Amino acid sequence: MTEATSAARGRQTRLEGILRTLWTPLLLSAFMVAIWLVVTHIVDDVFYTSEAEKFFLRLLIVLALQIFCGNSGILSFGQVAFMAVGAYTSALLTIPTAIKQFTFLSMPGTLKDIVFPAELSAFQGTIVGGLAALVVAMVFGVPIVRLTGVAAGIATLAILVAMNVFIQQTSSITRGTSTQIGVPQTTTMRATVIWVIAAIVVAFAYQQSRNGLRLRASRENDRASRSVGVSVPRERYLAFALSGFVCGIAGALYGHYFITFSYLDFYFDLTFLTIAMLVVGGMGSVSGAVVGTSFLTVIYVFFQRFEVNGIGGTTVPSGTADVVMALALLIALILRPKGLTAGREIPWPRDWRWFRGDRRRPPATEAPGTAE
Amino acid sequence: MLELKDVSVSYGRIAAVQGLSLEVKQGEFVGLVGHNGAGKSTTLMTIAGALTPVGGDILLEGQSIVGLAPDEILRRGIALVPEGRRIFGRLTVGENVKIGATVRKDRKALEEDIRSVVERFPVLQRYWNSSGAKLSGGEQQQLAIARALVSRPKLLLLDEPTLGLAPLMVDRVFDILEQLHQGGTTILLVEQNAARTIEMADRTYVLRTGGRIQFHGTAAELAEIGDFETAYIGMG
Amino acid sequence: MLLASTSTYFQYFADSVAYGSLFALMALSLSLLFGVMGLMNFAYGELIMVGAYTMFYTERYGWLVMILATFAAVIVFALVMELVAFRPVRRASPSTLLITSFALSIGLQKLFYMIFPPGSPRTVKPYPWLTNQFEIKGVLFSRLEIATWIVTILLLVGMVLLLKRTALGVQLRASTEDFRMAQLVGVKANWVISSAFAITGFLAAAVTILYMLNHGDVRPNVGQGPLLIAFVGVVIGGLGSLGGAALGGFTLGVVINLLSATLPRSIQGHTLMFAFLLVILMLVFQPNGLMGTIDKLRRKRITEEIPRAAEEPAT
Repeated sequence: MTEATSAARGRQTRLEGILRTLWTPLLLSAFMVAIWLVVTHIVDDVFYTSEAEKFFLRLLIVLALQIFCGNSGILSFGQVAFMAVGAYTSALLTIPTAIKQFTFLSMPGTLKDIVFPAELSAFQGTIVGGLAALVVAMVFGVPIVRLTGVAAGIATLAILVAMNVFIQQTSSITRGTSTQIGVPQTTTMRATVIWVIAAIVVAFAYQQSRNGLRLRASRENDRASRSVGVSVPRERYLAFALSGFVCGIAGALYGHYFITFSYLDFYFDLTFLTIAMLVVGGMGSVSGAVVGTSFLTVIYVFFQRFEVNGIGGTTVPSGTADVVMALALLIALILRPKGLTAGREIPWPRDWRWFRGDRRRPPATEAPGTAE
Repeated sequence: MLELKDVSVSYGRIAAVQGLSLEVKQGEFVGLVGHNGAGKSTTLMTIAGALTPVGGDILLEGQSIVGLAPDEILRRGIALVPEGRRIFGRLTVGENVKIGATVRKDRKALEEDIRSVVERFPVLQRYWNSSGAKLSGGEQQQLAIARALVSRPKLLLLDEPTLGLAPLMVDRVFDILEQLHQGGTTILLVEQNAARTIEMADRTYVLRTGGRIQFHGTAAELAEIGDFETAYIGMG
Repeated sequence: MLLASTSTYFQYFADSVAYGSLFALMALSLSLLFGVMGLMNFAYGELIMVGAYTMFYTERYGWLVMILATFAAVIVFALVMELVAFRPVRRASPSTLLITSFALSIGLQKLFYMIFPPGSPRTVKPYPWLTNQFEIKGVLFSRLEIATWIVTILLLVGMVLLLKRTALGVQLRASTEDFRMAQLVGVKANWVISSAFAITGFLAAAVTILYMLNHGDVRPNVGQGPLLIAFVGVVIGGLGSLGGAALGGFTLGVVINLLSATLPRSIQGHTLMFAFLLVILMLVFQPNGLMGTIDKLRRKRITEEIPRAAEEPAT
């Protein structure tokens, strides 16, 4: 091989290297845009628009879960609580003042002075929602990152429940068990898709970053990584906080789409659904989050339609769709705990075995998924 | 009586033991020594059924015991005195002894055995109704051995019984092992204390990383390997 | 409040003990499974759900049939649950087990939504003889409360006897301490775990009956409340300790009741929230809970052995 040829080979590999890295987020983002275009331009049905929006919002949560759980190997039940923070905070600051004055009569004075006059734009509201969730996640993160396994599961569950009780009881700022009134319906699918793509990029960037790498190292072998100087709690904390922020964004978007939300929206049902989507898709990779959410959404919507409209004249009882979700998750846990993607990202096409013909494995972000 | 044929055991992707073959004949006292990480404990745990080998076979009196549950292996006659003793702190000393006999159905003979075990280890009688956690290290070691003995094992596996014990207790433990050996019990002993093990055992296997046999033989044979000491220390 | 009369104090006391005993029972039945399998079983709530529905559909046959049917249904359900859902994943990591129990819990709830559509409200009819309050020296009691204390004490005593005096009990205690070692001394895994589930089923049935006679509403998520309470009780008492769980549940019940009675109304509703925040703190600072603190205070002998080697043997 001459020098010239090998140099050419080198350049090619470098370009290929860059493309390889960007391939996954690009592919996934393109997929998001494709869904958006299909739903808004080709299928002109309110039902599908609404379902697509729900899909994107759930995907945001699943991505948030992936950022923390996928990289740390620690299961968290609490992310939906941060979503609630985002939703309520951004709602409070975007509802028109005139309405707030009637619906939040018992709000404490100091808070009133800040909240009542505020009428943020959609974007501002979303950002503030995300930041509020970030702060709450940072507070809870301090104890959480010191826990693993079952203890972490229970602790994050406690966050979910505590938040729920808080929303119910602190009616002066949340309207308690009543639904919200006057939340401007400002979430557009375009905005949601943009945030989803941003989340995909962030999740992927984090995963590839040094922090992500260190966190995944601790997932594989806690003691070994600590012995080479990785501060496991700190890495977990970063992931947890980031995850919380994304949840807050999702919450804000959710709040401005489903404008009559209440405490019931942010509890076990959504937690279950998003965890199921992540586990079925594969906790270890961003692709897993997308694949799982897409896959289960299709099944879920199909069965929901089946319940309501029926197929060929027969309907299934109401609630079937949820049972099917639970079954899907159980089957995944028993047969394929690492998920559909087995924790790997979607590989660069050149690496797909049937293109190559040989048996070379693509570089993967190795992840035993739910293994401890 | 016990034969390991080309046994391999892995922890996930780490191969702790690769292709280990050894045997223990009836009535023998066989030693298994080697530095930390050589795979000695892993081997014992695998024989006892707590771990499953990824390759090879383990035969007890000609029959394969690979894949059997630990309680079934105990039923067939292999009892383990594990590393760290692992006596049940929540149970009394008496309960610890009796639980060792879970697999036994013969009441009368069992009572006899319990009596003789208590004779051998009088300290147990003293603390019979106290919690197991209250015993000292040496006493717990005796309890762990007693617990294993009441199952009337054909083969007794011991994993580092002298670890963390005071020198006097170490002597005591080796004495007990010698007594058991004289009494006809087949023993497979894993120990850090290589010198004493080699001295006392009929044969000793010296393992290095990955469960590979470095040396093997009687005390006399091993003594002849001039480089043995340095090689052994060098491995550590 | 400080100047309340003696009878008010007794009232608080009586109510607290009633609450506490029920919670203790819930926590105890949950902790058995945690000890044996490392399993925090979300689906425990569904044992209560099954019991509640059984009660609803059998109460027309008289209270004796209702009680027997409920026990039978819940115990069988627990055993089936073990066989079908948990045995296949038994060797999995604790996290996987946790999600499995979560999936099972939600799945069963949704299944019941499907089978028993929420259309008509279902309630277990209260038995006035039990729930009517009568007065002794200025303190109000109901027969149900008294029944709750008695049943709880009996069951606790029964559990203690089972654990301390029977062979099964010894095996259970050994398994909850060191499952692997228990197997190595000959304890049969299947037998122990099935027994633990059956006992849990038995205790859950008792909890359901006492709880439903008080609360009445039969819904698919009826078990969620007791489940969360049991969780908190187990954590406060100390994960892995049976006595601790009962103690933790009891303490929780007493504390919640006392706080509800004494806190200013504005934050009264938040008691549960504080309880859950406490859970987080306990998990971080005192994972061995109350029992762990008690154990530490009891430790007398210093053993000469070096700290036990970690799970993965070094050699």
